[in-house]
Amino acid sequence: MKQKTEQKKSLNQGGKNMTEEKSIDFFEYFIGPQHPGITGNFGVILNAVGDEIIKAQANPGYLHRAFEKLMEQRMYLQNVPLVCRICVPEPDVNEALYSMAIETLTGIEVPERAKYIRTIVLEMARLAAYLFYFGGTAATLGLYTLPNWSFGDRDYILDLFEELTGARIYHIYMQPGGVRRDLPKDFTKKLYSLLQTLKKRIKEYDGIFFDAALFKKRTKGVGVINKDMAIEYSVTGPNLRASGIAYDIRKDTPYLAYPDINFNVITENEGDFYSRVMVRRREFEEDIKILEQLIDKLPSGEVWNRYPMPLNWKVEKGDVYVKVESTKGEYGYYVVSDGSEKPRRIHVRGPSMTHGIMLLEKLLKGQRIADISPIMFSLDICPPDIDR
Amino acid sequence: MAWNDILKPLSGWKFLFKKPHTIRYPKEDKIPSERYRGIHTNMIDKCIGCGSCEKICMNQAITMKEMDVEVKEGTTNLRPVVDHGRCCYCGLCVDICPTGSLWLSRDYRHLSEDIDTFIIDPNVKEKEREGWQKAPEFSLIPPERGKMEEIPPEKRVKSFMEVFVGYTEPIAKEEAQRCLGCGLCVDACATHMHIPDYLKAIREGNNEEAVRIMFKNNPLSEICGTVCTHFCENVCPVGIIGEPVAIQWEKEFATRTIEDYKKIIDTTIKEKKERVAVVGAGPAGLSFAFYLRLKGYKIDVFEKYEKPGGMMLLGIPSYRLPRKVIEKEIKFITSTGVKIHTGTQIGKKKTFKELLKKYSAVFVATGNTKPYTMGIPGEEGKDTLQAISFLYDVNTGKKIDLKGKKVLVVGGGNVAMDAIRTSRRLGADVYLSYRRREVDMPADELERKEAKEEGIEFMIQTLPIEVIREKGKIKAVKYVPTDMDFSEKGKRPKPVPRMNDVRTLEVDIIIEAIGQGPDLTYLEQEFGESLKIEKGKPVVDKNLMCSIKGLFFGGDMANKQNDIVSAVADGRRAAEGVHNYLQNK
Amino acid sequence: MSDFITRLKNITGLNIHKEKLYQASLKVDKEKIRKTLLDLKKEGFLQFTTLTCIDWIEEKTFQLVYHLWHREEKLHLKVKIDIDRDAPIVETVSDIYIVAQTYEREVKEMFGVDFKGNKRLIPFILEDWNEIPPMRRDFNTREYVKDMYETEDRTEEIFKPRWKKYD
Repeated sequence: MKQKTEQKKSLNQGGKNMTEEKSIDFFEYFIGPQHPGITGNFGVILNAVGDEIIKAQANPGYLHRAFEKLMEQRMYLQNVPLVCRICVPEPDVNEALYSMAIETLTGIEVPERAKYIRTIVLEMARLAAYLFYFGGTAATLGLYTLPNWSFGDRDYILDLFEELTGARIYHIYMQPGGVRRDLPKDFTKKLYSLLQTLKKRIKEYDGIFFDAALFKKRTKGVGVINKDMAIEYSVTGPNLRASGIAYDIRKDTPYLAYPDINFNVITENEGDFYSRVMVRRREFEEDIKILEQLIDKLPSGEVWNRYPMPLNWKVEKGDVYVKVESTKGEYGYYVVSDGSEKPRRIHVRGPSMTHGIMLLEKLLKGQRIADISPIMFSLDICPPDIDR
Repeated sequence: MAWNDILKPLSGWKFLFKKPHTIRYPKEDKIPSERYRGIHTNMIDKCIGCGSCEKICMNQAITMKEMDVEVKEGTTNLRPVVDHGRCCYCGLCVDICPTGSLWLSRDYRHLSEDIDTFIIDPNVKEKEREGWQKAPEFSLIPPERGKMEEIPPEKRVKSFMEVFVGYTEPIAKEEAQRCLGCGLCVDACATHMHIPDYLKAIREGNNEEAVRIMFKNNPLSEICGTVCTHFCENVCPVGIIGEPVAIQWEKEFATRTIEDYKKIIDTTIKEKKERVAVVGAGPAGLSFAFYLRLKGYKIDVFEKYEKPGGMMLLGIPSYRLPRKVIEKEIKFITSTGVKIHTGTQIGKKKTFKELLKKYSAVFVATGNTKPYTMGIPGEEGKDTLQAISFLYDVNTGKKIDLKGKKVLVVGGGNVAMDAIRTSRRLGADVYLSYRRREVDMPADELERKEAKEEGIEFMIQTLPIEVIREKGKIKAVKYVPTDMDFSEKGKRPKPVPRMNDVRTLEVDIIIEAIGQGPDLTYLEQEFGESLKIEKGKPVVDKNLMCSIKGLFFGGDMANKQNDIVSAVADGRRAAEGVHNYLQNK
Repeated sequence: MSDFITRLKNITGLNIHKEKLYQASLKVDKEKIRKTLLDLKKEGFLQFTTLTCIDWIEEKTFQLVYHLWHREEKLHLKVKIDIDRDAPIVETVSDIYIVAQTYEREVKEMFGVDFKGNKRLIPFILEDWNEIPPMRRDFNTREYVKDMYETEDRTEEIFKPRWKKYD
């Protein structure tokens, strides 16, 4: 606490000094850390004059679990159950990335069917995360019908996850070389019918939320990120596409089964709150199309190429950076191996690290207090991947 | 802004009277899916207590605790206890469990204010509420062992060349990775070689260290690497999933890479005054001599035959155990200062009593030299051979021609296998008669497979009842098929001959390989009643000393297993015993 | 991609190795890092992906890896520098790539590497931290947890060979 309190004290004093020098009265506010959005504990320290924010300072650290350090002390397979816990709304990208990194280092091939199953899991997770996002965004605006609907629909996806992987949130399903079990009976049928339901539901969401005048009025022109700013702040993912730059890792450097899939990269031009939500809203439909294609093209065969006995498994010396497109932006893993049973260093590059600190601070400046939560949530910041 | 957009949200009202899809009134329990990963359950009788679940657990949630269970061969009394406060329900423990006794059930609720109740003993007797369970094709243990190059059978039968090729370095390293490190093999091995330790050294590429570990328990490691009965592999839990770790071949590989043991093993000796005599330079005698010599005693080994090695040299054919391997190991043992007097039989000129006077202690390991016979009509004659004398003749270079002859070998042990394969190499057509089923055969599975490949006919569940002779020569054998009687539980099934179904087989030579016992004639003559004998074997205490002070017994003549590795173990144990005896004298 | 790497080599005079998965790596001296990144940014590496620090304690160095991404040429470039572990100071790049500021803050906190010129090296995640930077290899997590929370560590017990009783 000491250092933090000192820092906070100095902030307060800074306030006083500034008041004296420039004779502006401002208040210091602490937003968070008790779940300012719905994604995790994260704080923002604000200096505000009246309702206008003059300075914002992100204050992460409330979810620090030292995962990177822990991973250095565990055998390679033991990290598989750990990595998914880095991001709660969309855990599967972590599993996929970790497995991909180990596969690249060791040269284990992934069977074609396993690639498709992984892609299905990733896309399902994307749908679930977007439903989470829609609900969260609506809730930050005070519209509580949509969260009730979308969280309920998300549970249908979680039911399917439970059937496939044995768990609802932390699936621990992918492992180096493939996946841990084959698809259960009738899984693709159930998934297909769920997709049809979701297609109908998203239209109903339009009615109460996305097309609603209230939503449009409230969000257009709020928290604008223009093209230049997006590039300057290394923005990735849907946030970047909302600023008019058509860049999607699935398209540009395709991984897993994405090379075989046809889909469009969705962009919006305004770069404001509304665009960021609508990019995701339109991608939701695109993802349903991707999943339908995956179900059609799913090949048969093996789903796992085995690795050596995990207790004595040594991974070849080397380093590799792998990345995937998550709902929040570019998710990357940098794995360094020194040839022993345990990884030398695993660095997790969460998208929120860039979006959640520098970009957020910049965006909040000049905004009003009521807009903090919506802006923060529109960027889809996931504090657990900042802290790790 | 269209007017439509203002009215659209009203469409939400149409759901007002619809049934909610997540919250259910009255409350219904959700039934978890078939793969659900809930609270642990473990079949206590199926579990072997290897502790792999404890090792793979990343949260140290599993503790192996000693429990009141029956300890069979290849199991321990340890069973997992799970702390569900630490468990993350990943199911890695289930995927690595070799037996499939552990699974995650579909129970997911446990509520209590007491933290201690979260430490759950998952052990049950019967299967229940299975959720995430073992799937053989997704087991984390690779089921197949490293492939070894094989010589084709047509080529093998032509000569007595070595049939065993051995591992190459990359395959040996890969194979050593399959070890779970449970140590059940150490319990099963008669010499308790520290197998997981030397496998670790092998996979790290440190063969010297591996050999050093081996020689702590077994000075005939390379011989055991070639011809051991490998009880270690029989209990290896990896064998439940697929093929057990090739412990024997790993041992052979590591010892083969070392040319001179003297260079890597520390054999500095602090000399002592006492002298100890050993009778019989077989595996027991040699290992005894080695370990006692390392303790500083002066050792004299007396061997009846011209070369040391005992049954290893005279009983085992050279295609199975190359002579250079025996020579290499004996050379190392003699290099420590052990003196071997060959061609000296104790009991005839020199007596045991003389030895006992001259030496502080005497270790006798003369092995099983007296073969058993079937005791059926017409059995006796020149053309009824005893397997061990037959093998002795072949191994000492006596010319025996069996070309075109029909040979019947009776028995199912490794000696029988040696007899059939040796006869085959000498050009005979060979039949093997065994009275039980093939799975009951004491012979090694690999030996059986290779013998069949070499064109030997296995007559399983048959029993010879009479030998028909014509002018003193064998013409045919009468035999009957047998049925299996499983009434005695826990024992091998009893063969019951079907006496009304007599068949005949024309043969020229019969070789009997139905076991052998120790020859105690000289000992009985000398010591008479004062030497206690039970079931044809001398009675020994835990130090392997018999009823006569200073006289120790070991090897085949004193133990039940009758194999090399038990003999080596006896030798080591007797060395400790003699040391204790002389220290406390 | 290969063409681009050759072009890049010609322009900047840097020794770039091509690797798997759209990746290339490059090792430069600690002093040249600012110049290199400025050159690369001019060449179109606009996205600063992340900054990783690796503690090679045996060689007494920290390796800093700057990950850059070129969107048009699809090249992920890892720029590596080695710095002395006993005097870990390096010049900041936070004025070249704005987001590098956060990453440098994190490396400073987790490894104790100082970035000269970074205006905001204030505490980031940790609170009340008096020990050595926690991501360094010589920081023992198990001991720390043992002292801090009085928990038991059973690692040795779990991997203790059962067969020592036969010695």
